Amino acid sequence: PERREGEDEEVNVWEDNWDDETHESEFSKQLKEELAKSGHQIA
Amino acid sequence: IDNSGTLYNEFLMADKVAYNYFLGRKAMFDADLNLAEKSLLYAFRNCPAESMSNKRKILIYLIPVKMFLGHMPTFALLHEYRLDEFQEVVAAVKEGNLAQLDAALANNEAFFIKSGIFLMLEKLRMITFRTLFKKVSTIVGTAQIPLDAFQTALRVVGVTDVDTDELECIIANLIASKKIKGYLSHGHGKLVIAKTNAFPTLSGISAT
Repeated sequence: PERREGEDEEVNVWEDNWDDETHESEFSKQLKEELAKSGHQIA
Repeated sequence: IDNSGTLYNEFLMADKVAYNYFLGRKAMFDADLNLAEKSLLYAFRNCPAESMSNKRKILIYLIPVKMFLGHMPTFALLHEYRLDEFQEVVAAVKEGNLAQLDAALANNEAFFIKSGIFLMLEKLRMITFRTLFKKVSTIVGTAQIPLDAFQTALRVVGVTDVDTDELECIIANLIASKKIKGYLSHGHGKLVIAKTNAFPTLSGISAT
């Protein structure tokens, strides 16, 4: 028997919303500091 | 096999899984990501759970395809199938950290070359650029972003060999592939982005 989409127990193994910036990572902080240091406008 | 009509239904599931696995691999190298995803997902889903090593082989191709389409594998999945080599790559792409991506590819080069996906993974740089630039735009917070700001960001991630022409080329490619909504103002040295949703989610772009 063929297994259809969503039938598998592993539906949650792919992440789509990794892109939202609800939390600021260390890397983001570093990026912000460097941009500020270079005289760029910071929101 | 595609033209076998109803006869296809008579095939053994094991043969259908094998067929879709190879069809998916071929589609991946032909850059037909949607067909690659469909075929490899079919193979992965219908491959019996007890065939861990076969499911793992399918995942080695399915993971890069999924990543291009904006779906990142969870760490739990990678760990379950002993594919921890991907962890660092996934983390780097999600962060937009090109230095980390290059290091991750270098650290696991032998494994990725053996698996035949090294060149495929190298193409993830484009998505990584997009996410880095998205972060810059969020930090700067205006619709007109000086190209200098992107250069600063590239220096942070250790990319020092990209001059302004090349940067404009990268951005132009991102715009052409609909990963950025906006236009380059060459004269002003700026990227002007759309007021809303200038960096659409990757999974949203590939779905249309």
